[in-house]
Amino acid sequence: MKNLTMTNSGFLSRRSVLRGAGVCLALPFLESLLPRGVSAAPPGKPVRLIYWHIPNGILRDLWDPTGAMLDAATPPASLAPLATAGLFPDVNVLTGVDNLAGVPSGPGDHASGMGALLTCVAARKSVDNYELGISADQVAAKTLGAFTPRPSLEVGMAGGGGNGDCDNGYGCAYAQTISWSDAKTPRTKYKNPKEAWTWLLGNQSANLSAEQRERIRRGDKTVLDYLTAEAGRLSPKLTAEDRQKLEQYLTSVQETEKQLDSGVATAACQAEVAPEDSTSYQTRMAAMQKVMEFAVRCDLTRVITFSLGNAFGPGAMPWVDVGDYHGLTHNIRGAGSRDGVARCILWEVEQIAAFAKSLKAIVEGEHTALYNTVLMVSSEIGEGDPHDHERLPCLLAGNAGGAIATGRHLNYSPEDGKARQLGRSRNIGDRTQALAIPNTNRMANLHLSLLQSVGVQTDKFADSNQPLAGLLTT
Amino acid sequence: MKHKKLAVTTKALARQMAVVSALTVGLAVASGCTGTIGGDNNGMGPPGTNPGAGASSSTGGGGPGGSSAVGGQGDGSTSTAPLTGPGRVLIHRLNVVEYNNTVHDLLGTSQRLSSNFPADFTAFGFDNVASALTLTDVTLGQFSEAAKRIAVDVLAEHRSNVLSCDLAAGKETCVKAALEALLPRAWRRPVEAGDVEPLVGIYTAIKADGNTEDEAFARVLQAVLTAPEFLYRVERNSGVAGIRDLNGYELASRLSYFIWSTMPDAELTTAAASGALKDTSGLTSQLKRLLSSDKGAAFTENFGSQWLPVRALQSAKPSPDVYGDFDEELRAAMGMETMRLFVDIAKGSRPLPELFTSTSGYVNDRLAKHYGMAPVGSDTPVFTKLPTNRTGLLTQGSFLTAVAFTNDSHPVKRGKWILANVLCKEPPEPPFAIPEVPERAEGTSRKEQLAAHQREPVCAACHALMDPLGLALEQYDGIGSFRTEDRGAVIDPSGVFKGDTGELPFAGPAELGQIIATAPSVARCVAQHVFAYGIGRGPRSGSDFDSFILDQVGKTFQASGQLFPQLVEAMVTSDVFRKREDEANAP
Repeated sequence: MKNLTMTNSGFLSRRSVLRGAGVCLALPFLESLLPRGVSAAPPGKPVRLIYWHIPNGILRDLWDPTGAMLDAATPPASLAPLATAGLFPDVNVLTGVDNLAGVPSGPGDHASGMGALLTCVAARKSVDNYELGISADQVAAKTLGAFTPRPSLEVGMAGGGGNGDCDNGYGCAYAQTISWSDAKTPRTKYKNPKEAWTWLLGNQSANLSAEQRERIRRGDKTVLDYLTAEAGRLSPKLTAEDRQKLEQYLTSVQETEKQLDSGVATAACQAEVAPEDSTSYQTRMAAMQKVMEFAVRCDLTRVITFSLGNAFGPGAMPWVDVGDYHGLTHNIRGAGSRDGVARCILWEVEQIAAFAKSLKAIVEGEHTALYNTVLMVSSEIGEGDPHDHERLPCLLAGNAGGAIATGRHLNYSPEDGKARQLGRSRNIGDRTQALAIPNTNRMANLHLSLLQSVGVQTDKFADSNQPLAGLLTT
Repeated sequence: MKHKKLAVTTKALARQMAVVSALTVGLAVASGCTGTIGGDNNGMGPPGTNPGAGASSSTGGGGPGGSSAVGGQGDGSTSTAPLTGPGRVLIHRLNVVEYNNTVHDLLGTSQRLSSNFPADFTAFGFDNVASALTLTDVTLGQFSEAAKRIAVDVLAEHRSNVLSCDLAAGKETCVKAALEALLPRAWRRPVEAGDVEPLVGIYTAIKADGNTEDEAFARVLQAVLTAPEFLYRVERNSGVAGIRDLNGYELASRLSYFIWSTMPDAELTTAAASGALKDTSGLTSQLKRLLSSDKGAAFTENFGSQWLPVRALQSAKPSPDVYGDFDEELRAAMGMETMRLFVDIAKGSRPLPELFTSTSGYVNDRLAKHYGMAPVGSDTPVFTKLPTNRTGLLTQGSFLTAVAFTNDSHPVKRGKWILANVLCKEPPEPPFAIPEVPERAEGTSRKEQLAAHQREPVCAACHALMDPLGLALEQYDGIGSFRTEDRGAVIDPSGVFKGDTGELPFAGPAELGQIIATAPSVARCVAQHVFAYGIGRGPRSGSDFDSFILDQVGKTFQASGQLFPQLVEAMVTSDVFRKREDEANAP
């Protein structure tokens, strides 16, 4: 077991050594004893999940493939960049997946769709009294987070805050994040690539000795124990709803404590130079992709959510000559506006292709990081103009370590078409009825399958009723 | 050719709309666009002109105690058990601005570390609303990391702020003394049993683990700065159901974070301790002190830049192709113009209506150039007479740029902004499946194009309110430059304002500014914004109590001649600021 102790940066915490007392070859392979920075990918199994949100939906007639296999010679117009980059063999395009949980009560599609994207829960219509559900990335993080310094990374091109971003009685948090720790806790995201990079590295200095690091950890633990006790001391003095809000604090303390035992990046990774922030969207986009590639390559996290823009989209996209992407989607039947929307989508897919390529360039044994990943691209709505919640774009890149065969077009449809009809109403009663119809083409089933593909032991996610048919290689 | 194209499109439009109306007419009714501005305002209660009948409080059973609610005549006069009460605020996390200010005021550090944290979520237009301020492991990690660095900085640079004894010599005794001085300030309440010992215990443990005295004390500071009673403003539950007065420390905290976005200072804390804040005159005298101090700029800056689209201006991206002239200097000048006028209003030097009617403004050379004025001779804004085509916020660069397309004006969005932020009448999203908007042909004005909105009831319901307001500003392009025509069509800025007092025609932006300045619902609407910012929660829809408070505060504000400090004072002396509803402890 010499290799477990002899890396140039890795070390074994006294705690883990004590746990592993009597370690010998006969014991099962213990993840936590590995030197930090080394991927623990069980052979043949995927290691990471990346969720990539594009706002304002797509144009189905430019996106949906026709045949059952993807043909790089005749790609759908919007997906051409993937074909050009040689990525068609590495992706699946799913059509016909519905996320009727995203249907709002009255108006509010962008916010409610955004909320439902990774949670498959119908958001409570409230400006500030949020009620949603845990998002798929956070479910994944509970399993995959054990292996890396950070359980998950939330990044995006838009921040929180901002006036008037919100949607008809649906609170701003719904519109500004896709990642939720639980029903009441939206997660913020980094929009500054340099800050995200620094955070990924855990603000650790590469120059500390093992003993110093361990002493710091003990100090951190001492303070965290104190904070837990303080929360307990304060709690009885509060109202029930304040106690519930304080739960967020307690959970945060406990999560932080768990992360104390996860590793640090290798010295080589710590020495890499972070990209700078930029006021240019395109520059910052490239920088953010670099951060995500770094996170994957240095195994700093195995769960990432990325949002190209908050609900309603990044607004201006002058590099494709568009002044207001969202506004343009609603003028869709004018020829000029349709072309503009198509340009925005094409640009978005170019970014996805570039990122997927960067993952494909990372060698992992016989395969690549892309092979050992599943990157899911979707949106808060199906198409921008009707802002519907059926037939959402679902592009999957990567093979989840072999659990997912790629190169396919998988077309789903509901067993009972009434669900879609009801889903087009904005009446809360209709929406409830729609959700009760047990169609299997629902987003929750896709999320369930993706979670299973990366080794999360579960047979349920939100209102899933089965894994999505035909997706995973059994 | 042009007409033919239009005719075809209009026919198609009519056909589409016939289909749409069948599908969506129900929606318009449900959507609350009732056709008058200032009417039933999505459950926010009756408009501010309700002439003191107090009718809206009738089901409240006199709950707010009538007279003590606003203007603070009675001190905590309670009547028979009210049906509704002042509610309460959720345990209230410091936002990133407040955190920076607080650590500075507490410890003297000049590190502004939380400026790098991801932005907080907002609600009701503000980033200091308790329910929207959540916490995850990531955020806690950021606060922890910041606390560590601040602790190191404080021990190096501002040591006497936290220690007045020698750690090596005094050991735990020194630590205890330091904490007894620090905690009441850090946690904004007097020290209690159980506060100090566990923190001293941290010192002991860290010291025993091979760390230096300073490292051990830094851990103590880290703990103090990440404890829940530092990160959150806590108002305790008494365990007895009913309305109680906030205690002095709770009031001091509310007041200080409202006006200064930071912790109470020594004088305010002393006032709290002595009970001076319990009566109205003590409370108002502290309020006045806070408002007139330098730190009062936090209120004008943080409230003003969020209510008015000055923060929004920071993220506006005018297209360089169309607006090559726009640069950061201009953006800054625009921001200053609006904020400095607002500062005057917030101070009470100018009444609020001048926000919409002022014929002078704070202009520097860069902005003067933009507005086609003679130079003012300064980079610093100078209050100077504006050209006749500039009167108030609606013609200010900040608003016109922040609320626009990147390559053009946006009359619908501008109209919507006015409705939502000044009149508190926000229209909902468009109905599902809107019909196509015809391309605007050369020589067609926006006004003609958008007339299509008026032809279909389901569209007109909301657009009849929004469009005229935004169309009045069509002479100002996407960065607020003045123009008389657009795409070959002469711009006609006249329109009709549909409000409480009927339909009021206007010839252009100046007249519209006058109408808005005198619209009855403005006072109450501004009160609503101040309520959300100052209390940290939105007014509860369907709450008679909150509605009553807003009515009263709006009226007091109006009666004062719309002097902003009067609005703030009315809010601070109201029961919703000074009291809260507790609940019984669970059995």
